Amino acid sequence: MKRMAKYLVWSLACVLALAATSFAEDAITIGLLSDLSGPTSAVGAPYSEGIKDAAKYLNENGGIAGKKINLVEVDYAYNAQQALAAYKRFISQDKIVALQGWGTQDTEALTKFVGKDQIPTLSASYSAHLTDPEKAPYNFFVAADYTTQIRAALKYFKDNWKKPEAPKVAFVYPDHPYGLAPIPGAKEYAKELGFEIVGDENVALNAMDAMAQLLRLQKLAPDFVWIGGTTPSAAIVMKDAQKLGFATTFFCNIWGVDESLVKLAGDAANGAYSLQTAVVYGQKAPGMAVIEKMTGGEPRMTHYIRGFASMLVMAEGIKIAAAKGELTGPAIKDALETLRDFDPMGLTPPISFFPNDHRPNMSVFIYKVEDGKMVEVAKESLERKAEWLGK
Amino acid sequence: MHGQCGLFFRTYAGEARIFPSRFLMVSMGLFGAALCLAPLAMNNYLVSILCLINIAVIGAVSLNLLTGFCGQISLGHGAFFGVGAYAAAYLASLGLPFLAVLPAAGLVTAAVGMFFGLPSLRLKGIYLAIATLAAQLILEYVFLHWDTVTGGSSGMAVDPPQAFGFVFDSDVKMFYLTLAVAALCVLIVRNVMRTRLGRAFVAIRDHHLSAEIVGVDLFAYKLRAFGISSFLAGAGGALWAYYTMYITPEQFGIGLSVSYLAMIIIGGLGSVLGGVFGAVFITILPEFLNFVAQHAGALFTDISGALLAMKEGVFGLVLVLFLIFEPEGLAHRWRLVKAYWKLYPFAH
Amino acid sequence: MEYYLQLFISGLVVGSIYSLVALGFVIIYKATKVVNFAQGELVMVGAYVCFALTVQARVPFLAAFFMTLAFSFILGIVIERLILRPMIGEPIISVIMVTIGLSSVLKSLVQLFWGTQIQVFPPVLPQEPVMIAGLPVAPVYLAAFVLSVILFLIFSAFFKYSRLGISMRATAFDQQAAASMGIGIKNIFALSWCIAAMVSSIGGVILGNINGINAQLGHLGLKVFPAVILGGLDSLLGAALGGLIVGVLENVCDGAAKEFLNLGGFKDVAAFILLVVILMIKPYGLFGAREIERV
Repeated sequence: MKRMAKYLVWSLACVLALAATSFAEDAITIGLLSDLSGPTSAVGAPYSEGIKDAAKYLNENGGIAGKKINLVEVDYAYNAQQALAAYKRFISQDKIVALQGWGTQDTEALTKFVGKDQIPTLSASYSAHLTDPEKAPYNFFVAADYTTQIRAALKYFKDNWKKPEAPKVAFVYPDHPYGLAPIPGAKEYAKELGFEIVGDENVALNAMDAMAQLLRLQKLAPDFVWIGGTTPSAAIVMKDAQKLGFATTFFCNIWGVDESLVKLAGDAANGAYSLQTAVVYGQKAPGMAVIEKMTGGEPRMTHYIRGFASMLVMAEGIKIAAAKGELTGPAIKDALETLRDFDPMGLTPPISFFPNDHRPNMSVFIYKVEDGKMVEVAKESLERKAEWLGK
Repeated sequence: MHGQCGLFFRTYAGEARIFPSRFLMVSMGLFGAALCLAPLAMNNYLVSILCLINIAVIGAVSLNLLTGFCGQISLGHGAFFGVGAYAAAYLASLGLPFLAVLPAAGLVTAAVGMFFGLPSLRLKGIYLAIATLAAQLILEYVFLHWDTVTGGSSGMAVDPPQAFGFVFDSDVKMFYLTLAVAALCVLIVRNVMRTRLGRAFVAIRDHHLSAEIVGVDLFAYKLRAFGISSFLAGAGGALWAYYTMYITPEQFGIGLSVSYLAMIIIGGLGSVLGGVFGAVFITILPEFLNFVAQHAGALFTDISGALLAMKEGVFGLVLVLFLIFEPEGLAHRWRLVKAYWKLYPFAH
Repeated sequence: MEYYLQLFISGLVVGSIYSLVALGFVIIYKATKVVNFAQGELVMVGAYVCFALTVQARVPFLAAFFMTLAFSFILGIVIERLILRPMIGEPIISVIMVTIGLSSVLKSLVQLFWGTQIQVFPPVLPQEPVMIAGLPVAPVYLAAFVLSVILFLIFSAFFKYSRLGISMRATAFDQQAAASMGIGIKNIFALSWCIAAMVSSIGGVILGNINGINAQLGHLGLKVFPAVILGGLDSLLGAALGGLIVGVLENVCDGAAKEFLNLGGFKDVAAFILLVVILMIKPYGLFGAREIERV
């Protein structure tokens, strides 16, 4: 007991000594909430890597307005309480001026707090209701929101629909806030375009099989099926559909089709459409050369590229604010709202934020999986309609 | 009482006192005063940690009542917390004031808790645990789907609480509010354990057949345990809703239930002080790990990423180590420390 | 009607995976009375080790499979020795928490060594689906079904007829009496964990073949609980049947809920609700032995 106590005291002393080593002053401190070990870590880790690499790139090229970016990262493992505590630490100890968030859990929990403390937050939770500055004044993100993604796909399909009868669409999504949120807006637009909505099914994010749901859907014979899950559940749906001989066109959002879907679903993924809001590794874009150099030519997932772009957009906002001489939260938020068609090195479509509209753009890249690779087939841009804001 | 050597009681009432000696009362008073003055010396982050600790204390102590004192293993405590949070959010959105919402949320949760405690009529041990796990999953489903009341997948926003003319919209103010409610809850549980009700609970835990023979109506008392424990959990959940100002169904999953169980196990089953210790420990552990990872990362840059990801593993490791080396929890260790001081230089 | 038959078959098919995992669970309980919340993580570790051997070390599958079993054997011994032995005699809640802690540790270790990306197993079994009553079933599920039947038969015979099996049951029933009869209690404990770990690895390999592996595979452990409890914690037959029943219940209830109540996502909750109802009628599960309590 005494020995244990002695060891404990010793190690504590070492840790506290370490704490004495503080980091650079006169840096721009940005908080980073990531999920590196929790349920979404498979995609959270590459996204966080993208942000960190972008910060490294910016620091190597003079930083922002001459100051270096200091990223403070916390892995909150998709736990709201830890996200909250980490945020409080960012605010009071690290004195961040901006926050890079991650998923629904932390972004939703912190919406009110970042609004109150005036900390502009860029996240990877692309829910439509975060684009409405009335509800979430300090939240931004760099990809078209989930509902807009579905709408863009629906428009693309309708525009290329040659048959006289109305196309049939069905929705498959998990019984989870992430899956449920975009469905009402998507259904409304589908009806508007003239689609016949034939059915909905729930496939959980960790489902092992989707036979029951697909049997029901197969009878309704939809032409297009939206899968609103993540890659494991999308792979299960596609593989089971292939087994049933259920021929239809699947389309999924950024979390549903990425490089791992092709690995998981094999040739069942061929013919599926993917909605992306950033380019794929290896595509021609000015930023891609930078990324390829930083990663030594080793491919990275689309989530890495979106993280990279997110940091670039935040840096642009900070740069504009710094040029006016104010490096504070509200100044950065106002700076972000002045962005018009900002191009983050070609990695995503141009981004514009407005004081009453935080939708980055209404553009979505439409990719098709062919022979195990994601191939860009179109870029769909929708009108920035006011009645779609927040839905 | 000159000439009295040690602490001994001559009446039943004396034995049941919460603070049997003057020394205890004075130290408790000093501790309370220090706690109330603490925010003056701490930055906002540390005060927010204290708020989280207060809310966790309510959850842990209420679970200890059910599992530690009454022996009914419950894996659904996280969901009951959620019921309290959603009840509070809904009632607040109807316009009720905070002082009415808090007990009302508690009552709603107590009713739900007693309903899900009905299986305890027939089930014991691990089977009851699974029935409470079912309660957890069913309630999660309800949170997600009962759109009209819970807002479904988008969750619910809650305004800061208002009472006695104050608006509690800062961490420091919430600290005092949560401290007051937590102190009240701890007092309630401690008092319940002093009464006939508490003795019945312990009898059910230790030897339920003998308890039944002696005249304890097992089912009625088990339901009461579920009811009181859920009432307090509901109050805790309501506080959580007011503190975070935005609740979503994902916040009240099985992970929350497991972390409450970890709190009472590490703190010490069947001890009110254990619940408090466990709550403090489990709330501080991830923050401490963050702190270590951050500063170790300053020295060895690549380790910080790996360290950060190991948080859950370290949590599990701490749990396992505690159970192996200190199975009776921190409360037991605290008693040993006190005995060591009291009896020095004699062995304890 | 044909639709419900297809749901039934689909449920049997998925349920056979639950049975496989449930078997490991019951083996541990039958011998040591420990409720192992880390069963899902044992499955995951087995899957990852096999993956590491086949894909990263390029060992031929059959050899890798046996090496995985050997690794699981050692893992079982290590877990029992380090973690479970100090917990002998502790209340059940403590043992449950130790296994929960163990599950977190295993998950973190897996993430540390193999990262958090989704990994894909090389397809070992043929991919062409087999038709059963108009429902295409992937061969990997058939393999799971066959394996769980085989393992169930092997272990039933083991526990009933072999000396070692009877010793294990005796240890679970009354440790002191078993010890006084000359049974090495500690060896029995270690052996039961080894067997359970090996059975879980088999389950992990099968599972890996279905939809790749990632660190979240352990969630299966939670799904298996209704199966185990339904069948009765100490009954092998109960575990095997419980898994199948839960698989069928999930699918059929999901179908019925969709058709009659228009409720989505009922699949996951259905099994638990029915579980509670059945437990109220049979508090020790369908085949569990009634625990006799004395004053």
